[in-house]
Amino acid sequence: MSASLAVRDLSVRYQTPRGEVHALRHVDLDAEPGQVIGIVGESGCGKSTFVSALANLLPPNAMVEGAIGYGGTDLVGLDPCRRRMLQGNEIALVSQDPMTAFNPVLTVGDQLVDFQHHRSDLGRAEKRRRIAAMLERVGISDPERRMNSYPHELSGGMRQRVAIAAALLTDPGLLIADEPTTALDVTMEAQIVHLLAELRREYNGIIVLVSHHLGVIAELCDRVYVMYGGEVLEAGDVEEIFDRPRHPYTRALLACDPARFDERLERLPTIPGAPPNLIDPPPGCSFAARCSRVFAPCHTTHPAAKVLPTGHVARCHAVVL
Amino acid sequence: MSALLATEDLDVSLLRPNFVSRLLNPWPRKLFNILEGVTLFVLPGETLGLVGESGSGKTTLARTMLGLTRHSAGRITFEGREVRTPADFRALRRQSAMMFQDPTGSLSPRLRVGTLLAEPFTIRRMAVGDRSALVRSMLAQVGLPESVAQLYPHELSGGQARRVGVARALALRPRLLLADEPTAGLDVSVQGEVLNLIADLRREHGFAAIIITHNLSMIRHVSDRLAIMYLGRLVETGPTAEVFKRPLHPYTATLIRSEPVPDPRRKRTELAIRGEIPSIFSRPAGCEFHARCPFAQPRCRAEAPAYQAVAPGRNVRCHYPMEIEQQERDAAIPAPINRRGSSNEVEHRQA
Repeated sequence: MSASLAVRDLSVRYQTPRGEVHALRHVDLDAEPGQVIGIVGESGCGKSTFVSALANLLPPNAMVEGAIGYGGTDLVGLDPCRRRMLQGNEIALVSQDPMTAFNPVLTVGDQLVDFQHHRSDLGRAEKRRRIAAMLERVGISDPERRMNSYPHELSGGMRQRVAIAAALLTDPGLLIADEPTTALDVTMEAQIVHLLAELRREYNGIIVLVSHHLGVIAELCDRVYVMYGGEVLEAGDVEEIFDRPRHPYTRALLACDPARFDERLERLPTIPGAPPNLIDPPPGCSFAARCSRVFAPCHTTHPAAKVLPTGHVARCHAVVL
Repeated sequence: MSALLATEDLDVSLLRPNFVSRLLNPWPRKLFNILEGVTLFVLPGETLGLVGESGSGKTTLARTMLGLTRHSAGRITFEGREVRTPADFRALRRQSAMMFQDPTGSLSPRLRVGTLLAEPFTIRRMAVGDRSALVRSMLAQVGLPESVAQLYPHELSGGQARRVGVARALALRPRLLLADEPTAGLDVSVQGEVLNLIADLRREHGFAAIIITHNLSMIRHVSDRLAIMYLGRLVETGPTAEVFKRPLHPYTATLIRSEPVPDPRRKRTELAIRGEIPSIFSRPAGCEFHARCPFAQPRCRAEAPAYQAVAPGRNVRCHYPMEIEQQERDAAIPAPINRRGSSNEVEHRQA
């Protein structure tokens, strides 16, 4: 099944002994089937909270407001039992660390059989045939033998391939990949990126790809959301974001990537300062303390999301329509 | 200029970890080389980048250079004198420092940052006088506020933990810094801050640095020379800018092409490298890279290439190094998109 995703005004707060953490604030996101959505930002900007909210994996101390519309159903308001039923069939997650995603004492074949528990119409032999076909599709040679391997017997790149196969076995309408290449070498990263690029051609659901690697985002995504301090500061088509970034944070983030410079730099560009404390977020723009184009209203007034004619959304006082 | 630290034909071997075969046949024991024939030097004050995939032996080489892993053959020299006995290595370690891969894991979780920073002096039994003044000056040097001294390692962010690692490593003013993946897991902006900090301190104190990484887009900006490792052997060394401009070993060329480019119009359709690094326990015959090499010839499967000098300062371990003259001719013709440098050579070599 393929359905569209519409996140509206999604906020997540955590109750902690030190106070309430506003981990996610007023996030809007839209995706159509077949699209690859990229979410980019520094550590602690709310990327993981956002995908955890989508995948219903938030810890119990999280309070969620807003709506996650998936195929016309609001997942936030759904009762937990029905939400789990829907999610098990429709939403799959590929996590950053493929080692901890699997049970170390079961073979990957057994685990992949278990992932298909919702397919009560299939027998065990049929399920194993589907697994072998899926492992082959994600580029694992000799899948029959690999199914009898334990997770520790596979290399990091191969485990990530198995994790992607596991996610695709449920035939999800929404595939979330949370930093799928961060734990891998550059050569394995290139192979996984290549695999995802191949899969997206035949896959007709939505892929949400979280990464702090701008090269990976540029290569795979159709639309990019730039997050900072729990907010989406800028969103737009991938060419717009990389060629005509409007928000000063996006510009600073792009300028920091050493891969953009062929000649040796004496000093690598950085963004001075640190991300805001989300227990007591600043009243104005969350990037104001580090912004090079800051002016009077930035510290006091929270900027509204401005929609530009190009379909670009930027949350900045300095952006004029 | 003579080398600060040099290795000649360095081997590191381990017993094959196979319990049953050792039980049945305790002698002769089979040795497996983790590192093989590593000849490398670092000049005073220079930054050397050590690059390769996981399992290529980068960390083992760094550990061996400081005597934390014993070498089974070859020589290590420091300022021209051979380092052999444990006492020699202790003296070498006094003049060098290592930043380990896991920044938080390499700090004791039970000690406060202040104590951790003073630890190098304690270990070397050096008088420090006013300890809190020392800690304050060390924190200031790496750009951390004084309050950090009261924190425990788990309370630090990734970038702060690296800074504490830098301060500890440089506490005794080493001549050589070995930094193992100093930016792994850091955001791109924080990565820049840590590397700028190391570069600033290096300019100030003039130590040499060996930076171990698999991040090519970062290392090209911070290193003077590059050494590329594959399966425990050096496959190429040379000045960083030249290696990026004209890689001689096909492995180097594929590594450079594997790096994603932050430009949405340059979506790659071809995969630069297939397959994975082989196991050290089943080294392929001939050239170790032949199974993944796009240009492998019959000779590569049969005969292991030597590590040879092909140009001043450039060594390569390949029977058919990507021809220098060929590349110079290609460079003279302005290619439409040749940002990554190696797309032309590929076609010529296949032809």
